[in-house]
Amino acid sequence: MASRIKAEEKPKDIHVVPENIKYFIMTFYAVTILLSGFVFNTPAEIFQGMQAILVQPSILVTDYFEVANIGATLFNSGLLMIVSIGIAKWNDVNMNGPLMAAVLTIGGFALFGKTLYNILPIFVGVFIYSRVQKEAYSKFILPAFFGTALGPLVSQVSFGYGFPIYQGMLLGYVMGITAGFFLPALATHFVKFHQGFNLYNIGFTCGITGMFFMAVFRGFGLDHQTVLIVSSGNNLTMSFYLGFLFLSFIAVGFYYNRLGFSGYRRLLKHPGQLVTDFVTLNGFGIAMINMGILGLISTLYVVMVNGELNGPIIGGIFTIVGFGAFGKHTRNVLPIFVGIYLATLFNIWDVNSTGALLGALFGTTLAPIAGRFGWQYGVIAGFFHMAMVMNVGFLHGGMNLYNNGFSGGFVAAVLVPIIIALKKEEI
Amino acid sequence: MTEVQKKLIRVMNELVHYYFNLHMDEVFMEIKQEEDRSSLAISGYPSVCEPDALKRLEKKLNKPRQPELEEYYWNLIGSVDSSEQMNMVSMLIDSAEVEYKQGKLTITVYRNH
Repeated sequence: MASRIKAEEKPKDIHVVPENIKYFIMTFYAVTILLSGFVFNTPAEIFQGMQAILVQPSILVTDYFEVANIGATLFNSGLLMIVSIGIAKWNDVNMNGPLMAAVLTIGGFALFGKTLYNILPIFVGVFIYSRVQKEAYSKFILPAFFGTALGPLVSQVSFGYGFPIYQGMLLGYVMGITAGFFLPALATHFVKFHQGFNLYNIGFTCGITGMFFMAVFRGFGLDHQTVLIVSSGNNLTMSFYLGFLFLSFIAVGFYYNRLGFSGYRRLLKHPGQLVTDFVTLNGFGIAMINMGILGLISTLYVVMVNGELNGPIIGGIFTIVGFGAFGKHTRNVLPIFVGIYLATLFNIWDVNSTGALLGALFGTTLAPIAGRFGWQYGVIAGFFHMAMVMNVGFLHGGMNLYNNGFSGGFVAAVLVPIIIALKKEEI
Repeated sequence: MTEVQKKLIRVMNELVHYYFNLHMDEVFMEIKQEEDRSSLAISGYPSVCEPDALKRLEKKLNKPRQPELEEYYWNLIGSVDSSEQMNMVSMLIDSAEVEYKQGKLTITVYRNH
């Protein structure tokens, strides 16, 4: 058969933005989110709120808007983003798509589960692993950052099982460091399970890890009820807040994309399968524009179905925005939204319930299925994801914040081989 | 087998994938492991080669190595048939040469230890 190397679509020269500028912009947003807390609450209220947040067991779903206040929650989010950016800078890691996704994911989940107290032992565990492997910490920074999904493991053991406070904290930290130590090896291994079609690979890894820990805890008679603590009534304020935030993303991206939107169509052609770093492949500017657009669309979806813009939901939106630099775009995300929406029409869940909305927002972990195989398969993936995600939380007892990543791993692992077989594609 | 050798196999796997996708009937491979670096070379005879495409491929492969992505995602390389995969190869290598001479296309990639 004739072989021919064809010229691909010619990419316009990508405008490369220096690392210090990218770091500055990400730090600017982290500081802005932190300081914006003072618009909502007084410093005293934020201090009290932070105290309440730090001692929460934080298992899924604990909305810090509700257990503390909006100001303290935003302060917590900004603070954790600043710490993450600082660690990345200290380790000389490039501010590329995966790192931007990781930082915004940490910021998002700091609205409902991650605290300075419960992420540190995960970082330490990964650090010890890097020393044992005699490798630089920078090589494991992504498992360390995404691995903070297991924060509730630390907080629940520390504050949720009724141990005396110091013993509980010590035990919580031992659990967190142990989990962090094993995460990098497990994450590298589990990525094969779904072939990169589940963007929240650590979510799947942490789901398995959390399930393992929870099984042992239950064996010792330690168990807990899952919780659903969510706030309501903040839609008007938070719509404006998020609207301004994401419009500013588009404005910054526009500036760094040579005052234009060129390259966006090319970005939309990526299937989004792991590893698709839009910052490296398409440029920082257009990645920021994509992130802003995804943020606006996600916010609009929540508002249109009369959902509540509370901590977990905004966390979901932040995560989608983060992955706007690392695999997600409107073409591969919207079919998932449609699939989830259809599922809520036929299933028992209300379309605007927090669970269903979290399923829709975080269900976009399966965006690569739509990107690679077509929108109709994305709709099917979204439909099945909705059913799956409502059933797997029990396994890890809410200890894994990325429950949708856990569910998405199973959905991708089942659907992808079937789709490939039906389409007679090779993998 | 060391982890470095496993990664070399993944990279070669991906290069073979690339050649097979171009329907080349004969493919030749060479792997050299030296003290300070390893090199992988693959060659074949495509019927048509557009110089622009080769330049772009060389540029793609010569993107900076990314240790933080390599460690986490290297298991995906060579496992999925996707146009994005050559971008992933660049995560694991330090430099690459693409040469087209007398109808023979040779890709050589280098990975420092």
